[in-house]
Amino acid sequence: MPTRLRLPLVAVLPLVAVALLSTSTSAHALPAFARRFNLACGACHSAVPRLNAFGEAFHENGFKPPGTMWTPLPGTLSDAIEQGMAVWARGEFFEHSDFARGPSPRGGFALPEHASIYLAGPLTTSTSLFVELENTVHETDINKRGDFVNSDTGGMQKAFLMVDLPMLFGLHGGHEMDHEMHDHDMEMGMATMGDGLVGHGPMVMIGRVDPSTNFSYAVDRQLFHDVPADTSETGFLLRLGLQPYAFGAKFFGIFKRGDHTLLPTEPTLYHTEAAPGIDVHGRLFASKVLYQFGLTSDAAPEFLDRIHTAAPYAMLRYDFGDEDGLNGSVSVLGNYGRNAYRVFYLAPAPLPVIPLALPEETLREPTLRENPFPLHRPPPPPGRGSITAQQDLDVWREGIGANLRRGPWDAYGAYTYDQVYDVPERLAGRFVRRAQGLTAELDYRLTHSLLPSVRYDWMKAGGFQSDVVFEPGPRESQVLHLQMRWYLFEGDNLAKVPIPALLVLSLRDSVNLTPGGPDPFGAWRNAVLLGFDFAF
Amino acid sequence: MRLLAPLLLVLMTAPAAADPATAGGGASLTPALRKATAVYNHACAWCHGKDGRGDGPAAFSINKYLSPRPRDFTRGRFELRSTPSGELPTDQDLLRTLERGIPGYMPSFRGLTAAERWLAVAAVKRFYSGFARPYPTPVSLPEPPVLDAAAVARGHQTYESGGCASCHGERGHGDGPSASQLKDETGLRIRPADLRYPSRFKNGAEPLDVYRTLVTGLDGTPMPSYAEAFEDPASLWDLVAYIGSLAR
Repeated sequence: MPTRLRLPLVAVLPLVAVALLSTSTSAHALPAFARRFNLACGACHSAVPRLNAFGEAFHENGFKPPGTMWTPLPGTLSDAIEQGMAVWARGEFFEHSDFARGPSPRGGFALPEHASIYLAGPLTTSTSLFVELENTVHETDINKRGDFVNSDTGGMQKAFLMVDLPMLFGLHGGHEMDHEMHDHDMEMGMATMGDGLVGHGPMVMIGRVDPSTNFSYAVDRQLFHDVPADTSETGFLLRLGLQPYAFGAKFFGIFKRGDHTLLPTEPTLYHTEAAPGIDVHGRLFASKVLYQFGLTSDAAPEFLDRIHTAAPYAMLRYDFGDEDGLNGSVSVLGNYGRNAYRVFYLAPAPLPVIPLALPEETLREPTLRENPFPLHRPPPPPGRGSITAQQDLDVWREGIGANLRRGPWDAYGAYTYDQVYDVPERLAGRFVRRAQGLTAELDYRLTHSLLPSVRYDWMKAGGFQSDVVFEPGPRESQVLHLQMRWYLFEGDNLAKVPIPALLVLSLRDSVNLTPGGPDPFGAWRNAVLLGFDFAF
Repeated sequence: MRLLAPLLLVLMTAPAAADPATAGGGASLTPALRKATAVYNHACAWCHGKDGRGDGPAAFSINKYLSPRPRDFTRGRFELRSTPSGELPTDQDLLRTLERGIPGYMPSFRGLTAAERWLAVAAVKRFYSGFARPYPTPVSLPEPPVLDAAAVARGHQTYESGGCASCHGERGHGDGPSASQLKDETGLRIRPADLRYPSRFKNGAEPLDVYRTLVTGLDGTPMPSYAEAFEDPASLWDLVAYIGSLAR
């Protein structure tokens, strides 16, 4: 695997200023919070970056301890930097891949795929900010010669303002407590609605959001790194990205509206890693039900990219179970993307415009018994000539996800079904309109520092069954991933590491269960990856 | 449209606001206790559980294999007190912990209003019937003397003679010979404090806080009370001076 070049982080730092003016939150591990509130990572995370119940409540309360209205602002600039900024680097630093045919086994060291700077925290009692600057989005695209190439970009990933609407409008006030109960001033009500572990919100997130953080199976909280697609030096796609199939685009040969390739395994729509949009979510019915609706725009990676379309979504999540025993959640999703995808295809050249030999008005007067000139030229021979045509497609995604936890066991699963509309008739028989994806994961907390995991992905992809971009071949794939993560330190061993920080090593083996053919689904057989997470 | 947005907001939040005040048995509580329970459920129950047993929804992942775990209030054992070892804490003790938090483990809840903090204290006390009895008298915490170099030197001798090094190590790094075998009363492994980092002291880092810790001990942990350990009460202040000198 070739070493990848990446933009230095300093190249994107000026965007901090833009971020401050634009947007707020997601749920990544953020040591800045640990520093600010003097906590270990384990206070909010069951296994970084996955949040526990306290971490979710912390997040939903605008990055403040649940129930609290405000938090002291950092006193000095150095405090603000130390307590408001965090760095996270993660990715694979070694990969060894085997292929059934084509290239010989490839292996090599690489720089980490992702390195991010975070800036986050509460701004006011009702508003909080979250900004993530990522130095690379390992993008696989097609260049003008039709070759697949990998390129790295830097810039804004997630960035949004999160506003607690009831707090903003002064509707919290759950407790109009008597002043005489204690000889203390009553200031305001609690920072959550109602009483007890009850409802919350609605919260509004505006900016570049990742809506799926609230889904039962949240994309960016997985403990398996996403591995980008692998391309050969000659422009062939050797392997699609090792990403959760349930959340991928699932169609071969489609493009984003920004004319970027959208590979079948790339997360998109509701499960986008980040896209301009607005999200509303909150909890009802004693916090058992989490509702969410909103819309994202074009999934193109560039910040402030052309906004072509809107993809509204609605999601409901139901939390259940005994917190001390078996518990979990179920989520259902509906997501519609209007003109979300684009396809390019070859269409027959249209008939040329018939040149009129006579002024049109003269034809209205059939006075000539014999036409002295031919009315038109003969048409071109049938099938001769073609042009590249394009068509925008609508897409509907429905999905269900669930997780189940008991003791050290943690199971996740998600299934999505996608269907596209407005496929040109010309593509009948060549373009499959429906696709499905399934992802399931099981983690076991072996010890405080060892976490073995297994994940299974299945996709029955749609889209072009054969075209000039992707070679014909199977459009169905199954992948099994095995992984062991070793938390060298997690920041909670404060006697050993007196700073909130995280260092994790991971050893992973991804096995292609359906190898065969030149198709990027089947051409690779196995990948062994060594990765790490470092957060400070 | 200007009317629609607030109306929609009210409709969305109404079911939540209509929820009962407590997760269980709220109807039988007085209004004051119902409010106290509501504050507790908002801020504390995530870790300590709605019944105060230290089994809240986030408790599982907080130091599963290491002490401290979220406190089980129903057992009536409290580490951070100003009262003699084995006694219950005062209201001020509970409030101090709530406001300061516990470095590394529990956030400060200064973000609650003053009245809400007192209500949370009241809610915590409901979980153990012993709080209905009169409080014990807090230990006497005298004004700190001058903690000079001589006090540090005397404190070093006290540190060695008092057996502190067996847990905290000769240089206070928390690596004494018995450090790896220490367990709390629930059987979980517990680390002795690394005295180089006073900001991580659970019971506070000021000289008076350290003195209080030495006098009261940390109930439920291997840290005993040294209230009667030395003939000269001033030895404890010497020890405080020495511990302060270890800070980085």
